[in-house]
Amino acid sequence: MTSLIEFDNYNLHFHTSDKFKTFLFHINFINEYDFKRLSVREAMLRLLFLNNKKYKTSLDISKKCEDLYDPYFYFEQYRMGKYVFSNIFIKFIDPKYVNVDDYFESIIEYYFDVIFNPNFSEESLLFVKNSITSDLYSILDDPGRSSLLDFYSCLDKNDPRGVSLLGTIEDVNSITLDDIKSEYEKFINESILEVSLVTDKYNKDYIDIINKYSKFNKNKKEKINPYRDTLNVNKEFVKEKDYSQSTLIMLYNFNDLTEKEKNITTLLFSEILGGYSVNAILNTKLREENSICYGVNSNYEKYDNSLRIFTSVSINNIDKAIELIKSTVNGFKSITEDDMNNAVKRLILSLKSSDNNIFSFAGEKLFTDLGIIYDSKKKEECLKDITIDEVISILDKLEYNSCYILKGVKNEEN
Amino acid sequence: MKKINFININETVFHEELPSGLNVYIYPSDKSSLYDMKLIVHVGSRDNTFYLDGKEIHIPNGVAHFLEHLTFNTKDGKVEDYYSSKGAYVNASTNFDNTTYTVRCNDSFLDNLIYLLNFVTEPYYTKELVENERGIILEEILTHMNMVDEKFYYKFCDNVFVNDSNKYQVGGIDTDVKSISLDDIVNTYDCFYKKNNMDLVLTGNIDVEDTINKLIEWDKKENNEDIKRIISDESDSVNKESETYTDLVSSKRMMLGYKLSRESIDLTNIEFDIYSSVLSDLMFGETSDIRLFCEKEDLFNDYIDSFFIDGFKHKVLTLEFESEDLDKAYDFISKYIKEFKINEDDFKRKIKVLKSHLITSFEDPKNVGGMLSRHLVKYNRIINDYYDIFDSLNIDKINELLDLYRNSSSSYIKLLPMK
Repeated sequence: MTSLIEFDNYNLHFHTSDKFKTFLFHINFINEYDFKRLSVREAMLRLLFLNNKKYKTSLDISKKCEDLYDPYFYFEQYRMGKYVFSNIFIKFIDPKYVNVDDYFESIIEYYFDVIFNPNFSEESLLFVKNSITSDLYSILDDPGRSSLLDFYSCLDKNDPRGVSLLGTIEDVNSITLDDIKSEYEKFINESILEVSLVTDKYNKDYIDIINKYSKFNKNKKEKINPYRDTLNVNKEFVKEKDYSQSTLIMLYNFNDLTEKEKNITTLLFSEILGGYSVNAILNTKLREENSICYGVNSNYEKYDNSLRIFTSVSINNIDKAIELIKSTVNGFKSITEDDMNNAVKRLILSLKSSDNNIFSFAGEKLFTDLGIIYDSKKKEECLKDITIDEVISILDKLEYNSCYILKGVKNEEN
Repeated sequence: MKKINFININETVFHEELPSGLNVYIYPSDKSSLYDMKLIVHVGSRDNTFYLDGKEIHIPNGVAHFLEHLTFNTKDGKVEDYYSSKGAYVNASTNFDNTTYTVRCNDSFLDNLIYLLNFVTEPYYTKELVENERGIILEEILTHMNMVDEKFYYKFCDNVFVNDSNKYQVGGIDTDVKSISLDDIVNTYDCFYKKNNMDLVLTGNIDVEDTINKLIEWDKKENNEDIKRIISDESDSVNKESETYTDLVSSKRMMLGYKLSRESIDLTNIEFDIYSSVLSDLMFGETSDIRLFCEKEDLFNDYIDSFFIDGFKHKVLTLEFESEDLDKAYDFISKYIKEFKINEDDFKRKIKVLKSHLITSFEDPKNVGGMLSRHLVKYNRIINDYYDIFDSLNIDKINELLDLYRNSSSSYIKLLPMK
């Protein structure tokens, strides 16, 4: 069962399934991407779980959580093109397994108690700033993740992929308590709200309980269009670091994709080219036939209209890797029906792999309701009907952008 | 065929031991549109010394992992090509104590299952295949050598364990991989890839009887000797009490561990692990006082991460943290552990949480497959009596374990940013 219930300030996406042993309730707070707000929003969200007017310390919040049979209660942030989604979720055991009256209501009440009663303090802010800085350093210390950030920031200083969703260390260091309070007000009152609930059966009481505790009264509803374009600079960026292995990133832009191409055809194109399968054609060329890498993958960055190819190789194989990647992409038209059919089967399998995951289930329902994606059934039908000519024609809409080489100069024998 | 019922939570796993000694476990679920198969071979990176045909064999580190890569070749071509044509997913992973081959599909279940069993149990290894794969594996090793966190972890293991082969990198290092020969591969295969050293775990919308009949038809009785591993003696003391080194990191970090022998307390392996996990959660988890300290005082950059490292006979309670003053942080933690007292209400609440998590762990059938696999690797049986074990946990025993950990041999390693 599926319901989209529209309220003045938010939409409630209420879906049911008998597959799960848990329920999931979450609110996506959606905002346009603004790099100036990244660090302060991350800090504000972490602080929500540390101090509260009702639960004095983070220990009290956690102990209450354990008393409620330890639901999984936290937040995650992710970017979709021009928007950042801040998803505060609570996944809890199906009430039928616990002998507690009004368990569902206790969970919802607890959720909103944490969101609506923050008690931001200087000392907790200092801890959160240190903690975010520590996470940022972990990203910067990771060759793969840091090279991606570096590449996109070299490409275009305004490209959101060039900055972590945690922001920058400089931004984190400059956050004040007033910034946190101001961000909280903006976040609660100005975000576009999409509320989701997944349970085993429809029950109107659940909707009434959510309405009872949610106090959103200023938010505006808005249809979102996440797509953005990537700047084409046509450059090669070369850097060096004291690593044992070199990183190679190649970027292509897409032009004028239709709706079907955005949702299906390009996904299949990327899967054939560089999906996570030994049979993907880039893998065949670089790993199986030439043994110059352990893995090479292409990622379709749907909402940024681009395709990214990523691999790690020894320093003396960089030129060979670039040549092989370019020739494989340019030679895409020679793919066979088998290449395509096998990739279709892989994609359908991966659609079904998410069936028993309540987060994937809820996410798919939400984004289908928002008109951003096709649902699994429609995806599967389109994949089964697609022709090889349609997939090959994507090559005509693909334009080479830039290349990034991070040379690992640690080992002379490389 | 036997039924293994999970006490108090209304879940059942079916078990059949085939004539060859291969154990099959099936968790049928009509809620799943996917079939998931795991063939577990009880060999891992720590098995670098063993007896074969009466002879003592020593192999370089990383052979189990190399062998896993090679197993994807058959006389008729590559395993991935077969599964690709069936729309199925195939992969494998090697760990310290097991190599697991996984196949996932949404149809042709029995065909895919039989193919899995065949490609793992019918060896095909040549010198040419070994050389082709060596280049790929060397690139994989180089990727790992770039990872600061992994280097940190293995350096720590080297300081904690003296002879225990759990301290070596799963894939080996580059010199290991360069030295692995076809004989090493074949010897490891011949010793460990026996059906009575394997478990098969299947989940999905499976017809249990039909599947068992098909497997019995496929199976052939074998006369397999028991595996004779050679496990070096391991001291209860750490190898090195402290070390400091530098690497490409931005902040100062420490890993600190307390090494305890499983034989030092009268508990089964599963009880030892559950008590250890509850203890670690009480001391460093989300409801621990030390978390509040981390938030309020400026000594730690973030929360303290706690986890366990398992040796053959030892368990190491391990803490990882960042601080600008590692010596002060170390002194604080040592004092905290020495003075820690277990609160009975907190202990009871943790048991309630364990029971609730047990129910929800059956939500996704493919995750159930992962859970059952872990039981078989660590304990050689399906743990269907978790509920009874949870009910038997008592505060005296956990206090005894706490005393043992805090008085055990310890080691720390400091990682400082390179100038």
